[in-house]
Amino acid sequence: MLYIYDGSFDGVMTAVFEIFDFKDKSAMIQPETQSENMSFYERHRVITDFRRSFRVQAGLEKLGKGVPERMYTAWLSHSEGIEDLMLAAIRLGFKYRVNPFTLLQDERVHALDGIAKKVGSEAHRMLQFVRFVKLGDELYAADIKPEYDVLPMIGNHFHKRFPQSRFMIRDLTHLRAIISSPHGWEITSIQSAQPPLPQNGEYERMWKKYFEIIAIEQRRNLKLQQQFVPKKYRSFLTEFLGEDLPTKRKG
Amino acid sequence: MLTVEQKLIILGNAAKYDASCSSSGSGRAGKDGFGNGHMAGICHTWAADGRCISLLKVLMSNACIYDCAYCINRCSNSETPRATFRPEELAQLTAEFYKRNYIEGLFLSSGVVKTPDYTMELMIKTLQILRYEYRFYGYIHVKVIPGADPRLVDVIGMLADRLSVNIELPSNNSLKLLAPQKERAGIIAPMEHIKLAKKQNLEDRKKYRSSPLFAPAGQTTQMIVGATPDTDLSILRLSKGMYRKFDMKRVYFSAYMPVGKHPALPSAEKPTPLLREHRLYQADWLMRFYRFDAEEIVDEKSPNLDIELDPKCSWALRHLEMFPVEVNTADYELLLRVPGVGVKSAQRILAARKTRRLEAEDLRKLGVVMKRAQYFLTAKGRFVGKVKTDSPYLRQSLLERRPMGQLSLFDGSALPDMYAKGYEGLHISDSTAAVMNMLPAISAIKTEI
Ligand code: SF4
Repeated sequence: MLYIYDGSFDGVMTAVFEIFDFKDKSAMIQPETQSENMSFYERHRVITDFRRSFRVQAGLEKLGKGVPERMYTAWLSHSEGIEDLMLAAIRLGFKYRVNPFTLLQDERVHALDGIAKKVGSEAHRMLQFVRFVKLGDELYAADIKPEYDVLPMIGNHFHKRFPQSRFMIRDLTHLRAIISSPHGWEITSIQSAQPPLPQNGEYERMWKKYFEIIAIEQRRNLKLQQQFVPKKYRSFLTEFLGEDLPTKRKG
Repeated sequence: MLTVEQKLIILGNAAKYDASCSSSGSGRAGKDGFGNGHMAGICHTWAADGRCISLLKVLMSNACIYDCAYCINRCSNSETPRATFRPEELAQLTAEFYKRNYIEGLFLSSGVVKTPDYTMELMIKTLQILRYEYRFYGYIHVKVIPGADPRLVDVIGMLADRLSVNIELPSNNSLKLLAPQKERAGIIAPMEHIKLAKKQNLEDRKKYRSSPLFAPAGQTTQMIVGATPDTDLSILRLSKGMYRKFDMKRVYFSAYMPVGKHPALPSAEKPTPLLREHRLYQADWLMRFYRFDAEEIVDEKSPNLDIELDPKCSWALRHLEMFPVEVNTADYELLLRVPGVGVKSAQRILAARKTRRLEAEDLRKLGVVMKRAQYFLTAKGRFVGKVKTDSPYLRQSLLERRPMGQLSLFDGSALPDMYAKGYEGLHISDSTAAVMNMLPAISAIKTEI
């Protein structure tokens, strides 16, 4: 049977609950946006139920600390077939009563773990690479272009770090934005045409200068630098903007 | 009068040879201001030399009255322009950078301007503005100036997350020769003081929960490697002692960069290879996380690390009688000794073999680096190495194939994480876990739908 869910994480967790409930051995799960081309399967529409979702997550947490979070991270990739990998890993985890992510010798778990790693490491990169521009008193904005939909994973970090500010982080890839104020934070969708942020203030200039001089000239290693700061992220990193301008190096 | 920007250039340049940039291990936070310590540490960018930038690393002043031969800021160096930040200037710069998410905080060190006490007072003033006026809760690491009044150390310890005192050089003789105004005793005293003050603070906090934390991220130290003839054995012994005696969180090594001419210093044509620094970090890593002892890694007979091979491989080559080990039965300690098996993969092996016996093919998926491990283990009795463990070609096979030299060092996966990321011992998957801790309760993320 093909289980169709509403595209939310609680939806997918509800689907898992029902599959275990029906003891369905040949189940597949897909979000409603992807499932048109599978019309020859028998379909079942899952109604998202928070309590069921919560029970699955609580069960997963018992198998290992952080297992639901890691499932969530992998799921955020929204890649095709991710739900089935999750289901396979969850089945194995419950079968052996172990943290499913330790069963890496299984192809599907290995693939799922790899996806979670990719999404997780990009989320971590966004904690590193967000660059705010000051637009007014306690008012800041930043643009990012991540490959994955990682905003839900970074909002809390920035909200806790700047509890007094109002700020916005725009994800120009997925056209969503974090809006944060002293009262809380949320994610909203945004228009595709966004005005660029001004990057020419005095602190932007000083940061660029500092970035330039802090490197030890005799140990220049652009290859290594690129390994840590891939080119695809540089278009929104203040210190890499205007790199083509002639720069004078002091000793 | 210099502008803040000019001072930043001079004092950033003066601080850039400092090795440590770690910003982890503090959980400071407050709602009335901004900033917090991130337990795992965050690097915000990487400079053109491939080093991570996590903190604004500057000197308070480089107008130093001392004359350490290995230092660019020594008073006899007439080529260096001098500058001193006003506390207000540096506090504001730090806050503005932090609010733009450029940095995790401040790493403040200084030359000795006028006297050690005067210098410390300038630093304290800067931190007080940051903590009390701006209500800044981000990370601050301060280098204590040897010779300063212990009471000033107490004050700054309440404001900073981490303190460090540089041991500078691996031996007392070297210190006498190259840094005549500094004394081992003057360096050891504040280390001892910090250790005791931290202990006292822990006890105070048991009684009065509200008393402020003293250097919650502990203390570290740093030494320059390659400016003097000291061997790796004496360096590793010293660093072992530092960990034991003063509860050091880290001992940093910094390959000497030729910045001065002194009859006792190596010439500018022969800088210390970065590779030596790298090997020392690997050895340090083995001591801290792999339960190796300094004397197992190097000994009187061969007191220096093998530059061509990482210290774990060279240890294994000297103890071939222990290999190959069977991954399905070996205990944790023994697994950790296998080249190519890390802490993480050893734990994964233990977890995975609960469900079934492992094949050689499973190991790669568990994170084992088979390039090295293949020669040292069997799975279900099967050996998959290209050459036998007792083969005379084993060393040859283990050598990294790329040409040796300064530049080849950093172009690959051989790089230990801590070096590149600047924070302590985290692998990508751990940082994922760290990100996860920031997740709002999963069902609370309904805002997105
Ligand atoms: S005291 Fe510090 S800044 Fe001054 S010369 Fe010695 S190492 Fe350099």
